[in-house]
Amino acid sequence: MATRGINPDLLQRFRARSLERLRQVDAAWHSLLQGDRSAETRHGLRHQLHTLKGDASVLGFVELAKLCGALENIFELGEASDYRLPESLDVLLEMVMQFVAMLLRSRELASLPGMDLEGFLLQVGESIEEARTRRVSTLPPESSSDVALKLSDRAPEAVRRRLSQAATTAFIESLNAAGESQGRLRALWRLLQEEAAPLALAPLEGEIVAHAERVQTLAERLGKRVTVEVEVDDVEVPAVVLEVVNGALVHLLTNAVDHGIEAPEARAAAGKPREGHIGVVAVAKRGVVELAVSDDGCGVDELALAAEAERRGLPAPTSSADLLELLCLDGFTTRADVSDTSGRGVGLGAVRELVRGLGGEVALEVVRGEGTRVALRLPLAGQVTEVWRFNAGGTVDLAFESSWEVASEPVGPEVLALDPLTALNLSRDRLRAEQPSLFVLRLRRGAARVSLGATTEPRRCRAVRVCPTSDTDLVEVVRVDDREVLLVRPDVLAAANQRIAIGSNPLVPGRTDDSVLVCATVEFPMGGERGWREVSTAILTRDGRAFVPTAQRLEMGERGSITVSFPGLLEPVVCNAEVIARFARSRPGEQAGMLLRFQPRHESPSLRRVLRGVPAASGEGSALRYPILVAVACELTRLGFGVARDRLARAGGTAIDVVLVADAARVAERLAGGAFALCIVDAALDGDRGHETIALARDAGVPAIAIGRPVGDVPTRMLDAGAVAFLPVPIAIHELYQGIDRLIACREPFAGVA
Amino acid sequence: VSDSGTRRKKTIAVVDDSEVALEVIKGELEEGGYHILTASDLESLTRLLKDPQHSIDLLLLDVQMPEMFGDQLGSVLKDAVGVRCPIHLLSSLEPHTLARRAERAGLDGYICKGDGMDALVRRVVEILGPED
Repeated sequence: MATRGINPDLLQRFRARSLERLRQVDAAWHSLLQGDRSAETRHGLRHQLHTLKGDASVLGFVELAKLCGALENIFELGEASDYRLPESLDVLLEMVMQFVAMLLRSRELASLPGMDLEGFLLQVGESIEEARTRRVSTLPPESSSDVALKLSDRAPEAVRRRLSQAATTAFIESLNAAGESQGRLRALWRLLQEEAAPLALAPLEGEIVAHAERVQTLAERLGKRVTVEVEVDDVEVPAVVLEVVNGALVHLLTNAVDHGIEAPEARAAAGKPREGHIGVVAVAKRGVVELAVSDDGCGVDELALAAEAERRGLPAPTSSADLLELLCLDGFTTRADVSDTSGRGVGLGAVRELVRGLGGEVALEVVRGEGTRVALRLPLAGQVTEVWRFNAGGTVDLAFESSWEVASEPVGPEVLALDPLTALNLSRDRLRAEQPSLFVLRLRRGAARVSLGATTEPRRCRAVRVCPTSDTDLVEVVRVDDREVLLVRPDVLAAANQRIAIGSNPLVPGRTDDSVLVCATVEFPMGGERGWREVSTAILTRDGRAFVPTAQRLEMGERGSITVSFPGLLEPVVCNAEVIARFARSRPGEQAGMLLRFQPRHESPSLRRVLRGVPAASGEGSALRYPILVAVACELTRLGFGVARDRLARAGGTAIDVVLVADAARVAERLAGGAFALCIVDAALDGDRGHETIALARDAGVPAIAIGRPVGDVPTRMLDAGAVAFLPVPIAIHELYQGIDRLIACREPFAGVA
Repeated sequence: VSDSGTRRKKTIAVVDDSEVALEVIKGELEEGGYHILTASDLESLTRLLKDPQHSIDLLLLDVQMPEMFGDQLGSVLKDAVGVRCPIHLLSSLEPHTLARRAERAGLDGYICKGDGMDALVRRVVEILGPED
């Protein structure tokens, strides 16, 4: 569905929030893959994704909702297989995530023409089904080619793109992997890359013949007679080369008919056959295609060109090469009139640019009065592109296209830059870990500005595009001197690491402000064993300041380190434009930060361990009662605990008695008045002072489970106070009771809480 | 409370923790002529329920909310709070899951977000009757 009819403000909020949700989902998933099994991480992932899906549904973005549904299915499978997804699914997961992010950033929040979303979803569904039935931790290598084969049944270009993306993902993953899995991922990368390569090939001949037919029609319209002779080797070329051939032929053939071939009378007068001749020859040899377009027309009027050159203050041409230079100049023409077919003199320069983009060259031969021959030399090895190559502390070098202007400067304490390795989720080379970013590369292209951290200054070089991805993809693997280098797209990289597009000012909705760089989740180094500490959403400005929404204090230390103090950080980590605006107004110029990756780090022991301390029922079985004290702040939640208790009691046979209280004072009273088997304490009790009640229970020797929203340092605070577990809300209360009941009374193994 | 002569607009309370969702649902249902109250958390829902000015004809509850599951909340509202108006779940969960959860909690029905806003309005009209 289009975005028409939806309030633009609402749409912007939806985009921003959804991108943030996606980042959190991504961070949670990576945390789970790295061994985090905490309930809050799992729950957070599910909740964020579900809300994203719900919002997309109510706004009518069906494709987005479907993709979120696919993600839910993959995550569910991941959970069921203890986060050991088959690699094929892992790659698909990455692709779905990228797809969602792309849709969220796209103008209409819908897929572009040519994207086979339905086919892709079908493929994801099949892969999930397959993994469900097999449910194996790792798949043998041939399974990855199964995916490739299935994919190749679909629309070729979309498939090639997807395969290239998958190949690239496999390559990146291999950089983070170690040992056996690194080898496997490298093999997967090569396999996918090779699988993608032939899909990009197309026969040259058909295209050229089509051009020849078109030129006949054009000649007739111009009152000229012409035969076109085509001589093309039976060769397949990469799609990128074919694109250049198409562009070049449009120009060269039109030019030959319009400028080169004379009218029949003029030809007769010059002693030539009335019918002109155009030849198109394409020869493939040793990785190069040579394409030549020749005509037996009037050639190039060198005298007129020389005059035009003089008029423009340029030296007169003395060779074919000089002529070519002149003809490639923008707007250079010897014709007074401009026809609707050609004559603006625009074209040959553009053709040469295209050809050079592939690492090829253009040559011109002219014989006055006898004709023109333009020859293109096109390498087939892959598209060659000029890049800036640098290192950012990883095992692999990075690069960006030379179309970016770059200036490097030494890193300073207040310089703000995006760390490309962190942004790409790449691990740092241990040997180079001692070298943090030493340079900041200031990149600019058009209106886009990106600053990247680097350990070396950039060097310009040529790179071969072995696995082309599109301009909207984050990265592409290129080859420089036979080594793989990651070509990053700085604008996409920056966009992927921000909530709100560059230039839009979240402080004032609808207004753009050049000083705002990104609005992002920020981590600051805290020192101690916890290392980096996620703070919250912040606005980073071009002059290196960060505005954070809560009352945190940041202090610049030695060597650019920053310490943060929290005089009561209680609020959820949500960007609140109003609070930020107030904060930014009241404390301009005080804050500085670094853009890093969000990583939740809460640990929670299992409920099972908690209840191991609770005495088992004796021979009398359910005759023994186990009182549980539940202290919950919110009235409705308390009622919820009451309703669940009553239902359980009505079902009969329960061994637990639930006592409900609303504040710490009542807890103290009850604890003094009798023994409890267990306490359940809400973190929000007495205005977020649930930890004090936990301490009270601990001192009374009663194990206490904390419940609450897993935001900020709430779980840590509760666990530090002595809670034996932290259960994030919402809790399936009835199931929690049943679980406790079974564990206490029947000693059944406790399966956990939904 | 209806004034003499003027008919009171039927009131629907929508509970969802996503402000985006609330805003869209509110807009759609208001266009259908209903009076819409919204709550994004339990606290604001409590305030809403305690306000004697409001007389709610239909409650729509999202399922996945941060504080309590919507179906659980629904049964609390029916069993403990004494809400008498129909309560429906409104979620992007799969229809069969929603149906099961609504039934188990003893609620009156469910509406799938994924069916779109037109379907939501149609369903509400079915439940409450049309409003001008």
